[in-house]
Amino acid sequence: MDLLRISDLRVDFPAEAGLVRVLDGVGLEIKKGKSLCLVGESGCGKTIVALSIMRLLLENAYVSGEIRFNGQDILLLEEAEMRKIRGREIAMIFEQPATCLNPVFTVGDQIAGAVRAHEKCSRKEARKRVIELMEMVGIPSPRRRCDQYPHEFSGGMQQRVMIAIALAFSPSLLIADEPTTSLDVTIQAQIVELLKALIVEFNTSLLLITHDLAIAAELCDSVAVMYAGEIVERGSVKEVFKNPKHPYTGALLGAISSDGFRPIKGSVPEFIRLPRGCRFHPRCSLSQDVCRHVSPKMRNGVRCHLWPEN
Amino acid sequence: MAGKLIKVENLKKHFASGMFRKNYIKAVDGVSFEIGRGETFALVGESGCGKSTVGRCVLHLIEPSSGEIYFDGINALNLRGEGLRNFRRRVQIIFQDADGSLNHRMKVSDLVLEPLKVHHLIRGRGEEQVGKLMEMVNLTPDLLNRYPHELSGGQRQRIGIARAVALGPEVIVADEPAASLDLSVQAQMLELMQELQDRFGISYLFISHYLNIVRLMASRMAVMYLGKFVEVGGVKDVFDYPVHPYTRALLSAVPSISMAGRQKRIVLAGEIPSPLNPPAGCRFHSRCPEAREICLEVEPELYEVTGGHLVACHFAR
Repeated sequence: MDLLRISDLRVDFPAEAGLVRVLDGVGLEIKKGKSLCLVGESGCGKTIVALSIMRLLLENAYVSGEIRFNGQDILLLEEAEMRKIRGREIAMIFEQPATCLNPVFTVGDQIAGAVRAHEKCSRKEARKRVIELMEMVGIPSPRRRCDQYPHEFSGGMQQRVMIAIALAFSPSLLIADEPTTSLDVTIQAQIVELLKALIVEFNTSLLLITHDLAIAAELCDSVAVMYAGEIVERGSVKEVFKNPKHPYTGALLGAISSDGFRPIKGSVPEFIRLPRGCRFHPRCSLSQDVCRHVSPKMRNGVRCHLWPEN
Repeated sequence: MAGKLIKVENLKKHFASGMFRKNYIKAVDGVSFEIGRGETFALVGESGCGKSTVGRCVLHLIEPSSGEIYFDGINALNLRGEGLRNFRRRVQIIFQDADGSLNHRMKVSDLVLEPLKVHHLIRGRGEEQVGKLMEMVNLTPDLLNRYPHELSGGQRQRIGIARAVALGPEVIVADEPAASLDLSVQAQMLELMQELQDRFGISYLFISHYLNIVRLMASRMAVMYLGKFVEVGGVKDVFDYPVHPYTRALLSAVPSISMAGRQKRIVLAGEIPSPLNPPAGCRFHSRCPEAREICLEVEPELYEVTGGHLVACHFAR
């Protein structure tokens, strides 16, 4: 059974011009212990998907569709029930760890807070667990460092702390929103290797959100490519990156490759001025008449008129 | 002219720090390089390695602690008054954060004209000049009356490029010019930079931590670590035959889509030490998988392994 199954997710936000639909019919599945990457450029709606799953969207958002977690539609849950899932069953780490940590508490206190929210235990036991967790995420000399404050940690170390907090509950799903984007390449490599090892060890499913195709290729089993609020292509990482079906996926992969630059013309459309028909057609080098008028449906893992089976 | 357009010799920049200004952060600690006409020279390294400080010294925005910078044979550090104004016209910058570098209260047309205004180079009302510049960076004239917040990130960066090329510079320092942009737009911007280079023979000092972009943009490069060059050479040499353990780790850390044919990743332990108190001997020894006794004591000098390919490692010989 799928651990997470999202179907026909739509999110609208009220704006001056009326309702703006930022997610349109998003569907995806993650099996237990597997990892899925949501890739796309900024503003395509990938973070909105994550926040919908966590039920952390602003209250003025209109959400419809289904998000089934362990078979249960979490969009229908009371807030009190959701709180039991959020952080315990589904944990999340963010791009900027510095903004997620409280600057006036020690790192150890903050991890302990997560530990003690999960199970009743004494301060002493909690501290022992904190040190274990810090060791697990590769923070050197945890006994000393757990009494330090977040500003004494570098970006990479802060992200490790966030991972420790997320894993304190052994969640069945970890959502990582651009976890390495703010880090240097060598540190990025450390965090990628760490996440790789931990999801195997904890048998956690991973929903990775990134704009970096290469990180997706390294960490995930399957991938969903988003463009302007829709998923345009889905499939296993191997398949999609080797033989991209959607012209957007192909163009993204080829934009900066070893044989030079092949930029995609134009820029991502705004949600209040979405093109008619296929949302990618003004930038697509293969677009035809039908693309300008009819919005393509998702079939066989691709949302494109030109794909022969469609 | 046989000489290089930019010649930097033993450049150092130390910032005083601490309560009594007694400690020094050695942001740049003795680097030398040259950039020829129409050439792109890349500086690569992680944040805090000093690459942006080198760029700002070359631009004459900050005064180096010691060392020399020659521009077209003239000692650039002694320039004052008219000489410096002239230098500013010929050496320009493209910023990483186009949004932060544009005045939000100015229209596009005024933004593009500003450098010409500062240097009293406007002909008439400057309409013709603006039109040419907009065309050069592939922007349509209908944007001229807009304000920066009405533009996309890519359009703003194009305005930044138009401002940089307005004065017909010979050198442009590009500090992470595409880092804040989306992948599809990044490629557009870099292609535009190459186009302008082909047309006007501009030299770039290209500062970036994206190695796959450097490979496409530059002809020569230097890898920086804690204020020093650890490896300098032609881009092909450095990418295909990296010698310094740091370069090798950096290259292997770059995530790649094709998993096949990739070497095993070298994951460096630890993080960059503080430039306030760099390790003795080789600065990289605290993270180097191949460090031996000599590395803890003796600082390696740059050594030429093959023509034009220099490496600062005891084991490169």
